[in-house]
Amino acid sequence: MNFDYLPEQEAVAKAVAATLDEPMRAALRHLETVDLPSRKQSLERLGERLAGAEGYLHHGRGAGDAAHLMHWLAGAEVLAAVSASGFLALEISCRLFGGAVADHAPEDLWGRILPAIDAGRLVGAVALADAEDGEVTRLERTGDGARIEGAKAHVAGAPWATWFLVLARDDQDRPALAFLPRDSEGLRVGDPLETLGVRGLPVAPLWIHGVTVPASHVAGPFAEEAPVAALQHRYDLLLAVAAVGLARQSFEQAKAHAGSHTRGGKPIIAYQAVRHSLAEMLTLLQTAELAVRRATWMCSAPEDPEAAEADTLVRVAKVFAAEAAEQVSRQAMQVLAAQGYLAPNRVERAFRDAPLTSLAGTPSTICRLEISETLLAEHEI
Amino acid sequence: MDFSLTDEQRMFKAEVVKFARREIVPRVREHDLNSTFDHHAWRQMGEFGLLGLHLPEGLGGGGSDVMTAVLAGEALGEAGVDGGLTLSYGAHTYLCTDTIFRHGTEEQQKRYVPRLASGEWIGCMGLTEPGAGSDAAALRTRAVRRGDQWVLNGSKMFITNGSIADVAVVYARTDPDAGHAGISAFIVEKGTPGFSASRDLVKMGVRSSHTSELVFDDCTVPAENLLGVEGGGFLMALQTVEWDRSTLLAPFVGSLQYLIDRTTVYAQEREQFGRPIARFQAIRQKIANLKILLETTRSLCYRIAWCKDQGRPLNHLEAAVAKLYLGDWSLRPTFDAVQIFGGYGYCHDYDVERVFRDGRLAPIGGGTSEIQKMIIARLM
Repeated sequence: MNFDYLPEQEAVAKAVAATLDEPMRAALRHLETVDLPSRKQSLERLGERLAGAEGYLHHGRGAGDAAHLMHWLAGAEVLAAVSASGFLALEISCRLFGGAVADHAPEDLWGRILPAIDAGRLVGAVALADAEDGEVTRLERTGDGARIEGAKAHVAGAPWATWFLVLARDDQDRPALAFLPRDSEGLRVGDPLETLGVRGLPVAPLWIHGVTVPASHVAGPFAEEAPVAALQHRYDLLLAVAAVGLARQSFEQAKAHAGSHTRGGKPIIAYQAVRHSLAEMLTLLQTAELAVRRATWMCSAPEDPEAAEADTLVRVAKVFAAEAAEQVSRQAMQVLAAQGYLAPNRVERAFRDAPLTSLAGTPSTICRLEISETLLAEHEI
Repeated sequence: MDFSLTDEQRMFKAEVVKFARREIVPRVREHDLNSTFDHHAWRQMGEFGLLGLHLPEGLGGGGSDVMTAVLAGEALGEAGVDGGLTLSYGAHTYLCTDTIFRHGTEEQQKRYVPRLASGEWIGCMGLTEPGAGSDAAALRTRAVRRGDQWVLNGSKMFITNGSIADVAVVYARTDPDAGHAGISAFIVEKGTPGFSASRDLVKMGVRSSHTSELVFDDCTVPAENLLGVEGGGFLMALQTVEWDRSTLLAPFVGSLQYLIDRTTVYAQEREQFGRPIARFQAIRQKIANLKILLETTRSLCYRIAWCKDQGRPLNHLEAAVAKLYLGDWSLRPTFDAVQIFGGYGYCHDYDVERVFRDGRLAPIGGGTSEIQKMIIARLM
């Protein structure tokens, strides 16, 4: 057992930290307020820097590199603690979409897509959830290709993606993953949606009207749900890391404020109610951080007997971290009082951003049902 | 970073679970109901080697690392051993025996540690007083040097194993003007003139553990029963309560697995409205919350054990975080475990209410949650 990062993992963290100088941090703070092209430009500038950060952009990408997930996490914690929008925008493209390319795409697509991702470009978006209940995105084999029909709700990164990974099902409801370039005929990206938080990451609907793709751009249909479940798990882990980052931003801002803001002639940290609130926040933050680290480690070491519950622990980590982020940001706002309610500030942004981590990916309610499902199956009478 | 256990640790934990289910659990209900200490189980635990696991083999211990000792504690909870017996075990092993091992002279170690590690003797720690709980440094029990003896006067309160202990580590004030530096520790044996234990307190939970008041009325102990250096008692006590905030939590962590095992089975057996209650989402959410609590507390507890095995300096912040989290965040999920059982959950025979009652001590004993928040705020 070892609760410290290895030196080579620490090196990734340091390298990521080195990319986040004050001008870059300022650019990330303003992601919400600038237009889409400027946002993309800032993020790709960051991506370009991260391309040289001890392999951060490709660590743990895809099932084949699971062993390097802890290297990734060391750097991810640093980035997530600066900007949830920036973190999720880059990770959805390079890790979630890029991981699917590494796992499922044919080699010719690798060659077209992965170099751009490795250079820090925002390339891909992942479209899993169908727009309407009961209206499943369908895939129909046609000669040497496939035809896809459907609609996807809330695709993060859709407004700037050049490639889409779309989940579709055949007539036997078997899942398939299709790689669609943006210029596909019949593919339309809707207008960006207004969201409560994580506004630096644009979200839009996706319509797929009779889009045809060559067979080589389709992975599956699969006999089982495992490839889709793996994608969802990876997204859940990203959201859990983002949640810890939000909790850390909130706690640090609250602590700094409490140490400098005075009332009654003394910093408010001198008041017990404030001190105790900060202690509760730190407790939630450390507990969430540990939970995410342990879940990530399990995903990185599938052969270890302790990792047998990796799927469950990812869900546990996501639920806990998301709820911790909401709780910590709310308490932080209380510490900042009126200042916390004014925009823009880190705590107000974290308070708006935090709910996404509980709603996106596998929502917390579903996570709990899946956790209990597994436990009941283990204890089946 | 690596969260794996060794094969030996995994196997040992499984052995402890089997041992506990066979030798201890069949009598847990009876001892909890009657507030009696299970001496038979204690002897069995001593023979199995549980009472001094992390202590050197040369002193009768198991020579294992702290992580293994934590796993043993967790295993007891997982098996269904009640919080009372595990509290007695924790107080004996970590608050008494370990303190003598760490700070005692060679003679003191040889005299006390093997008999404590074997379970032949039962140990306790006397720190808390009627007027000095959270404010432990305000203790008033006085120790005055007279020739080659120390004379103790005062009383201690809420002492686990107090009335059944053969040996007590007692903290007393040797210099009333020196604040923290005026506190020293002493080893007091049962039968010492002037040393007595009052009747056991009737408690909400941890009933099989005897909790009593210790009274020192011109209690005279030999000078060589000073433990450590004069004036070093407070620092010793701080190191000791760090165990309180880590290894003593391990059985409660294990008891969460016990609750998961019990609630999942019950929820499948119990039918209402024509189906097992496990089919209702309201029940499933509660079961999931137990798992979330288990895995988050487990990581915190293991972290402390690992830090101790690494020989890192005092882990006050991590220990306080673990204690605060388990104490304050465990109340709702354990409450819900009773809720899953409905009316039966409120009855003694179904055991889940005992875990809920026992767990209520967690935000109080070993430093209240409020004290943990003070520590965290000071160190963050």
